[in-house]
Amino acid sequence: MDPFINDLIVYWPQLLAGLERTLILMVIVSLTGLAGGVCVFYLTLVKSSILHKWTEAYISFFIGTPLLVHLFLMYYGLPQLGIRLSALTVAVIGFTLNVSAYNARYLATAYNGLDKEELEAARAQGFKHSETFRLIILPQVMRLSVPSLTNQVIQNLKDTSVAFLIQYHDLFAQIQEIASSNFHFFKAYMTAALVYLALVSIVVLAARRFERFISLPGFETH
Amino acid sequence: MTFPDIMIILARGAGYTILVTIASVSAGLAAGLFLSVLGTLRWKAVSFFLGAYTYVFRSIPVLVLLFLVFFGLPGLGIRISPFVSIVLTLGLISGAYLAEIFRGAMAGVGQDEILAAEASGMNRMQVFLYIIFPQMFRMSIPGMINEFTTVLKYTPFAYTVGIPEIMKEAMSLAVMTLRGLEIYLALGIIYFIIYRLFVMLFMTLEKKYRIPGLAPE
Repeated sequence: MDPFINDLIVYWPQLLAGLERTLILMVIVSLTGLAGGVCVFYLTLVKSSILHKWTEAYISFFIGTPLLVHLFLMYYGLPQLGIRLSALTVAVIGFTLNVSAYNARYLATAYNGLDKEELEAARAQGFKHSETFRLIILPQVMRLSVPSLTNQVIQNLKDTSVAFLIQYHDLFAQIQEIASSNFHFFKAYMTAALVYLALVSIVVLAARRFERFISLPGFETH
Repeated sequence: MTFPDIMIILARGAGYTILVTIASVSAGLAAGLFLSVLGTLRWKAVSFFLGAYTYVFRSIPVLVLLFLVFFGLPGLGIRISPFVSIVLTLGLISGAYLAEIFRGAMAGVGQDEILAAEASGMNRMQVFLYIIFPQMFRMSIPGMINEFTTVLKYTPFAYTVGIPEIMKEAMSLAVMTLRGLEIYLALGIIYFIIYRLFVMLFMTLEKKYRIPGLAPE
């Protein structure tokens, strides 16, 4: 048998543990990022101009700066203030801040395409701001943004590999370890690439199913 | 060492970051244009190849591809310099995204315009150069700005293969001074400044070459 395959079998439990950590991180940040995105999107709609400016600045900053810098800032910078966070905590906070900014942008784009007369009608009916948001805006905007939001989940899955640079022992970190023990770098990274390709394919298929499931006739998104 | 001092020290390394970004985006633009032009041929084998290319390079994480190119290829006897590795990696990936952006923009060019150009005797090359390309390029600007931002944000990975760009500078400075907090904060601000400058540059170019009535949404 090929010695590399043999190594894969020997390291199987480690690889599985890494895969689990990759998936855990992806699932957590996809959920927190969605929740955060909705909150930030809500803030962009608030009339107060100071709050509005700050929210825009937040989105712009996190879209314009690398995730890796935020992760390093928290993982290697915060201990200076005596705050020591685990790699997973840092990754979850860093990803959430980032993904929320992106998701808020997607939701805002969908909002711009919305029929504003509906919102006026709701206000005329006596809906409060929070009610208009919850009952009129959010359901439509979420539905319109499903393709962008699911794309973001795929992006999250791929980006989890960045967490290995702050000592999070995800799938890529484990493969890295195998590679540095047997020196089969090409085979190891090829394996990593194939595993990510397979994982992304699964998410893509699930996303397409989900898009079909929630699609309403007359509200198709492209 | 005050905060402005840190900013100045780091800003000196920004040249490499900008160089890597521009080289990678240029490679990506070349790949994206080539692929989208190939796509217009509508040959079955070519279309299959294009589909596979975009699917694969949009699915593999940047870091994995970078390690495959830089640490993996020498195992096959192919040795590539760190700079070429990061440019190749980011070029291949952004090429896949840009090809999609160009394909979408090309679909937006009016079929009757192409027909009219052909009727007035233009050959395929001329139609592409004078009719399709100028419109497609303008329509792709928002997508290109997005892709550019993505590439800029992936350039810190260059430190993993030993390129002395700002991330690496920041890391060695942080090890020496033990003031990671200020240093990484300064690093974030520098990246943001680079990002804003490039967006402003693109916006100015876009305004300069804008055709009234043909603005991308």
